[in-house]
Amino acid sequence: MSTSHGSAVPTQATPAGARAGGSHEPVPVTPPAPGFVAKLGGGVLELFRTARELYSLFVRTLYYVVRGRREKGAVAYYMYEIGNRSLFFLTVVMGFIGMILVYQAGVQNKRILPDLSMLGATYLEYLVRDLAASIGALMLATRVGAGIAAEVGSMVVTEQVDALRMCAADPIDYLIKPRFIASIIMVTCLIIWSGLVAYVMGLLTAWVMFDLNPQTFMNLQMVKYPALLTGLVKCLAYGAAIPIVSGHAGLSTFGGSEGVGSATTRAVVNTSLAVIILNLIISATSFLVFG
Amino acid sequence: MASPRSIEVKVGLLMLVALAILAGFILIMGGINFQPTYDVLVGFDDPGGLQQGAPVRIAGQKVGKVADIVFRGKCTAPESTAQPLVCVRANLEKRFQADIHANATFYITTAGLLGEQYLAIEPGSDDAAPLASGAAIRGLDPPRLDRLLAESYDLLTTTVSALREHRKTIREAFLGLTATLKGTGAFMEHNQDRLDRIAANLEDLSIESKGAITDAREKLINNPRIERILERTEALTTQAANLSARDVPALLTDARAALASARRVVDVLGSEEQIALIKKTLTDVSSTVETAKGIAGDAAAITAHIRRGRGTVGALVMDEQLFDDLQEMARDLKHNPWKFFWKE
Repeated sequence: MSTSHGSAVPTQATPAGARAGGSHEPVPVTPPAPGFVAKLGGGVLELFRTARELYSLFVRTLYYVVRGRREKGAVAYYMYEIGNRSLFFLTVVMGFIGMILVYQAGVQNKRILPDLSMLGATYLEYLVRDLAASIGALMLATRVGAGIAAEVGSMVVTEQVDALRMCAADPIDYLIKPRFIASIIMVTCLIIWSGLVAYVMGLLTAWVMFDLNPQTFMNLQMVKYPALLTGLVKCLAYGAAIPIVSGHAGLSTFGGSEGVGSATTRAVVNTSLAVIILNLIISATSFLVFG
Repeated sequence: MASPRSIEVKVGLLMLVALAILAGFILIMGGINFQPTYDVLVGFDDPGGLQQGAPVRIAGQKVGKVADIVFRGKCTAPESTAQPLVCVRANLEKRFQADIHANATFYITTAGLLGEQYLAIEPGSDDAAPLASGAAIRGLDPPRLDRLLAESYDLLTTTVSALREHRKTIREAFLGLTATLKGTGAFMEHNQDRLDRIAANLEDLSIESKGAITDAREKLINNPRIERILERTEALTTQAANLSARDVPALLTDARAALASARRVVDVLGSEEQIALIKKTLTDVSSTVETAKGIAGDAAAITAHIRRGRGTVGALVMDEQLFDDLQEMARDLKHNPWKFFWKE
């Protein structure tokens, strides 16, 4: 998360050297390594600085969503890049995850009770409320987040972003906003699709592995509107967080190609972290609101 | 890179698919139902975990859903005076109204072992009228597992405390039981042969008893003589009943008269003077009887003396020779009366 650009080595005159050699040239002195408290304080300050920058980026993005320029085809292009190009990846991943979840849940359930009649209902409830959105968003964070960070980071190190600024164009309006809009829409669509895939694959797994009747598995009675609303809110939140966090990582890139790689890694880590934290916040809020 | 038109089509297609999935899911989850419905109010004191929107089922088939759950709702059943704490408004499909009767039972149960609770209906008997729209009925409260657990916990605590406090006594009891069982086992082992014989004897006894019972049945139950005896007994009792019906009133009349006479005698003789006189008379009779006994004893002694032929009377009675002589003398005197006056 660090955005610091290294530390300049301080120099100061050494009175002892001056006395010994009689020379007036400054001698470089290495400062003492920061202690534990200094490291802790520095980390916390860095965290707050990053949070403030993310917040600033988010607010400016929202501003440009409303008041920004309209570039024809930009949003559709990014929707295609984020959505359609991720469809196969997400379908495969969520299909396997659905199979694994139902298989593990069934095995654990059978150890306690040989009754799997409610497996489908409870699986669907957790899928709608949490699993589809969170797991799907984590998968998208790796693919989409890394892509955004690499793309924006490359533009930063090749000074294209500086050129935009020279032209009085805000890079957030040009680079982040279309990705933000496209991500919110496509992440929601992809998660809905991937949830269906995970459910169908879980149904097939339960049918094949546990001989559970698909009609029994297709039980919607545990899913309530609050759960569906919570899942949709998570979709929107993750869709907003992925381009903001990875765009921030890309915009804060420094150095050459090595910096782009570092920004990509940072984007994946921070986006995944953002998904987890948002999951906690939205789940807790949902619990407090809906019970 | 794909053309802008192609990109737009693909993106639009993906969005349409996602929207269709979401819309279909919401519609299925909400339970699309265009059937006409009617409401029934069901009162519970504790509906447990029943939630609004929970299904209402008859024999596992969904016939409606729980529309509303109101605390202190007004849904007192006609036959009940107590106001239930919670009123559940069940929204049922109209097509099932004819099958849900006024004596239907509404209760809360669970789908599966750990599933969601729902409202179940036992539709009632066909002779009752269908449950009217808006009718209030009392439901069966679900079993209170929490209360059961609390009471079980209390019971367990008490049991454990008792076991701890009476550990020595319980140990002694178990030791005694063990010794008893060991003694019983040793006894059984030691008397194995006798027990076998007893068992064999019991078996023989049971066989014989069975035979005896069979014989007894043949002789006492299936025997025509018994039937005849019973018939005769019945005839006798019939006759006795007839006789009783005919003679008993007269006998009762006589008995009443006799009792009245006896009562009069008792009234006459019941005074103190009469009782004293009767006692004196009885004393005299007793002494007379004693005297008579003495006389009878003397008479018996005389009789025995005579029987032995002693004395004049004895000789006269028992000595045949003397009788013959006297007969001869009488005959002689009859023929010769002069011998009264003259001695040869």
